[in-house]
Parts: sequence; C-alpha cells; structure tokens
Amino acid sequence: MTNINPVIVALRWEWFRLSRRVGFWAIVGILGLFVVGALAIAVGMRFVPAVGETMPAYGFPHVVFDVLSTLAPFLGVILAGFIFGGEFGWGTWRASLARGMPASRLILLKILLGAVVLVVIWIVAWCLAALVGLVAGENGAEGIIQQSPGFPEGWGDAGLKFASAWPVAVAYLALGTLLCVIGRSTAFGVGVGIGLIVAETIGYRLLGLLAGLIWDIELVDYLRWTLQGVSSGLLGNDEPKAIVFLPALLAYAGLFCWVTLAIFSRRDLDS
Amino acid sequence: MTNTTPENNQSPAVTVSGLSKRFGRVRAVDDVTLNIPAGGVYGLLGPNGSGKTTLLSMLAGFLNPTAGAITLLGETGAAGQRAALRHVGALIERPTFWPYLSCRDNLRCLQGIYASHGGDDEIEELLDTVNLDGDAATRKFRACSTGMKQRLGIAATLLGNPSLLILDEPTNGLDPSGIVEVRELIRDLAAADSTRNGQPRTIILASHLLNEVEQVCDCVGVMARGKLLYSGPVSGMGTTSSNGRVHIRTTDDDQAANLLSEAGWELLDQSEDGLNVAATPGREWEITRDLANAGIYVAELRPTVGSLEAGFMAVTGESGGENE
Repeated sequence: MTNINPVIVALRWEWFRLSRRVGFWAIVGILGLFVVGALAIAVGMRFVPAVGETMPAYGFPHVVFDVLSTLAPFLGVILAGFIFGGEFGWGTWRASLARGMPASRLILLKILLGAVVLVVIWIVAWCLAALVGLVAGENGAEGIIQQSPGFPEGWGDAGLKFASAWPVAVAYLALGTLLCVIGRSTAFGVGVGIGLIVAETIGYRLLGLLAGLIWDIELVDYLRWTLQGVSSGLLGNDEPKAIVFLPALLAYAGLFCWVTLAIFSRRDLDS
Repeated sequence: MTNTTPENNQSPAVTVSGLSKRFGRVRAVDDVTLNIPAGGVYGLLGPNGSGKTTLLSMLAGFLNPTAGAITLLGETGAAGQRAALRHVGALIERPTFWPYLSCRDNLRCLQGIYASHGGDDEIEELLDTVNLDGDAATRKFRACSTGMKQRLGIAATLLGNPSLLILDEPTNGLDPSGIVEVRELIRDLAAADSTRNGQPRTIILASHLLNEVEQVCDCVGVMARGKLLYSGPVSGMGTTSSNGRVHIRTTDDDQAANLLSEAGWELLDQSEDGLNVAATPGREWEITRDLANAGIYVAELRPTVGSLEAGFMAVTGESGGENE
C-alpha cells in the first residue's frame, strides 16, 4: 500500500463509497434499460426508416449513442449529485479533509472518478452495441450512406460518436458539481441542473428561431448547438460536427471546475 | 488576559497569535493569543457561545481565521498548517461519517483518504480500543447509537497515531461507564508517544464538564465572549478564586479571632474547623507571629485553594448557574 500513489488510493476509496450507494446502481440500471431498449428497437426494425434499408453493423453503436447523447447531460448532473451532494448533507467533507488534504485535490479526484465512471459506462454500452451490430447487422450499406448523409460511414464515425458524447456528460458533471457546491446540497445541484438542461433546450429553440428569422449568423448557430450540449451535433446533415465543440465543452468543464474550487476554498468548512 | 503555561523545554504543540474569527458582526473568537505546551492534556472551558468550538475548528483547518496566525506542531502558514494537519486528529462538534457504510468500512475509507499505512490491523485495534468490535463494527453508521457514533469519531481521530488530538466534548452522548472509559483512554493516549519523531502526544479537550477537565487535564484555558481569559495549570484556576485567603486552626480559635481582628486582619468567617482570614500571599508569617506573641499557637495554616468551579466563575465573571 505504501508504494501506491496516494491519489490512486484515495480514488479507490471514492469508488468504494460510490459503489455502495443503491441509488447509483439504480441510475446505471435505468441507463442500461435505455441502451437495451434502443438496441432492441434497432434489432427489431433492422433498417433505417428514412431510407428503408437494412442497418449496417456499425449503425448499432450509432443508434445507442444517439440515446446516450440525449441522456448525457442528465447523467452528468445526477452523477455529480451522487458523488458530491451527499458530502454536504452528512457533513463528511470535514472527515475527508481533516488531515490536511487540499480541497482542490479532493474535488478534482471526485470529478475524475465521475469521468472514469462515464468512460466505463460508455465503453460497456459501445461494446454491447457493436456486438449486437456484428450479429444482427449487415456488412455493407452504401445505399444508406448515399441517401442519408447523417448516417455514419463506418466504424470510425461510430467511434467518433462515442467520443463526442463523453465530453458532454463530463461538462455537465462539472456543472452539477458547481451547483452542488453553490447550494451545498444534492437536491439543489440536481434540481437546478436538470432545470438548466430544460432551459437550454428552450434556449436552443429560441436561438434557432432567431438564427432563422433575424440574424442567421454562424455565432448564433454555434451558441445554439453548444447550448444543446451537442447531443445530436455529430455527423448531422446540415448541423455542425460535434468535434468542433469538443474544445468548447472541455473549456466549460474546466471553467466550472475552476469556479467550484474558487468557491470551495474560500468557504469555511461547515459541519 | 492571563497566559501562563508550565515550564516546558519543548516547543509548543500549538501557538496562536492574535487569532480572530468573525461571522458577520459577531466576533466568535476575538484576538486570542495562546501557547499549548507539547505533551499532556489541555482543557478548554467556556460557557455556550464562548468561541471554543470556533477556535478548535480554526486549529483543525475547517474555518479560515479572519485575523491572526496559527503555528501547529511547529509549522506556520497555510501550507505549513496543511502539512501539520497530517499529524492532527480532530473530532469537532459531532462525528461525521458516511451513513450507509459500516463502522469498519468508514474507518477503512478514512484510512485510505488519510494515507495511513496501518492496514487492517490498525482498524481492528482502533475498533477494539473504542469497544466497537464484534457486531458493532459491521453495523451501518446510520443505525448506530449516539454513543457508538461518538466512539467511532474518537477511533477516526486516532488513525495514523497523530501527534495532536483535538477533541470537542468527546464524552457527549456516552453513558456513565462510557464516559469513564473515554476519560481513561484520553489519559492513556496522553501518556503514549505519537509516531511523529517520537514526540509526546498533545490532546486538546474542550468540555463543559468541569470535573472532567479537573480529572483529565494538566492545563486549562478559559474562554468567554470569544476571548481567552485564563490559560495555565488547572491548579492555578483554584488559586485564582482564593487569592489572599488563609485557613487557620489554633489552640483557641475564639481568642485568635478577636486578636486578629484587633490587629487589623480581616476575618472572613469562623467555623468549628477554624478561621478564614484575608491575607495577601507572603504575609502568612505575620499571622503566626501575632498569634504567637499573644500565646496562641497555630495548629494549621494553609492558603485555601478554591474549586475549579469557583475559579471558573471568578475568571468568567459568571455569578452561578450551569456552564454550557
């Protein structure tokens, strides 16, 4: 134990605590239902409704990550609630920070844990979808690609879809963390976080109207896609590629972390 | 403010200078300067709202001081204090743990976070020390009684064998036998060296129980209205309330009383046990001289040491009633 990096050890115990929360596994279970449901529909239909052709193997991860991308902001905020919020209610910040561990390290450790948990969920979902795709899908689908430009062109695009949804969830994980710290409670962090996601959707629609009716400029387009969390931006028809927004999402995550640390370090550690 | 500490060759475990903490307009701790010697048990007494817990919370790094400096185990500054806190166990206000974990798992978690290298042996030893072994160790924290929670809190402060223990009313919620056990534990811990360079362990004990402080502590600090009013040996608290008071028994107390009154001594009271006379320290010999000259012989003469309670009242200016 003495040779193991203290950060890794602390991360292990953060995971130990998270893994013993029933609510966490309930969320994972619900997410699993969505994934399995999306796969079941894809297998059942086995064709792309828009063009009426059979789904290629690499289309299955695409379908699953359409669902996961939509859920990613919610997942990020709820996960933040599980990782951070309880510490306020139970007063366990004091227990964790009693021996001089910097608050910044502990907070970053918790965000890292959330990011790792999301990666694991993503990998499991992607592998499951790919496996189902290899069994139930077609080998080639040139017709689909030609007739449906938004559809992935191969395994590379399916992987890119995976890579785009993860930063979305991480950005919302950081946002959820900030909200939990501001409100010093899980309920506040998760409640306001979900409220913001809904508000973002409304804002996206409004900006869409403005873009179409008044300004129609790239900045408005950029804003509205960023606001939507790039949930369906990748590989869209006339939509900007989500990869464009990855730096923006990571910048959001960084900004939220920085503000969280600034607030937390200035505050007294109330019991 | 009195700030007397016993002679000690070692550097103090804790030094605070001009320490203040404000919450809005309220000065919870007001310009406190204090040295707590290394080794032994230092008691912190004070009525409700006197600032004890705020002072301890600042020492433990939970609260940021509004003004002043803290030197903890010889380390100063924010980084120094953080480094020193690795060797400080603190139980302040109430024990806080993850409610869905067992007592054992809570300690294992904290052991991992604190990077303590004791392994499972340390956990089992601590659970045994605070009588939480067996079934109690596997009970979820939320299902524990107040006393069990308090015991677990004490066990957590002992992880890593720290040099300084900060215990804020550790016997709260314990039954009488539990209170006795914890007091014995505190005395044992104070007698043992810590792992940090073999330095003696220091314990700061805030309590509202005067007899607890009297039984356990070597030195005591008294706070009221955010200020430190006294700091020094526990025995010094008693003399604070009895300065200039001498108890005398003679071969003839009635005659001695008359004689001393005529000689200008202030007779405070007289009973079957003898006389109590006001006399500034150092003038006791004059009493024996006056009585001997009159043919009255002194059987007993001693300065009266007041109780800690009386000393506490004298220091804080309390007229009576319960302290916290």
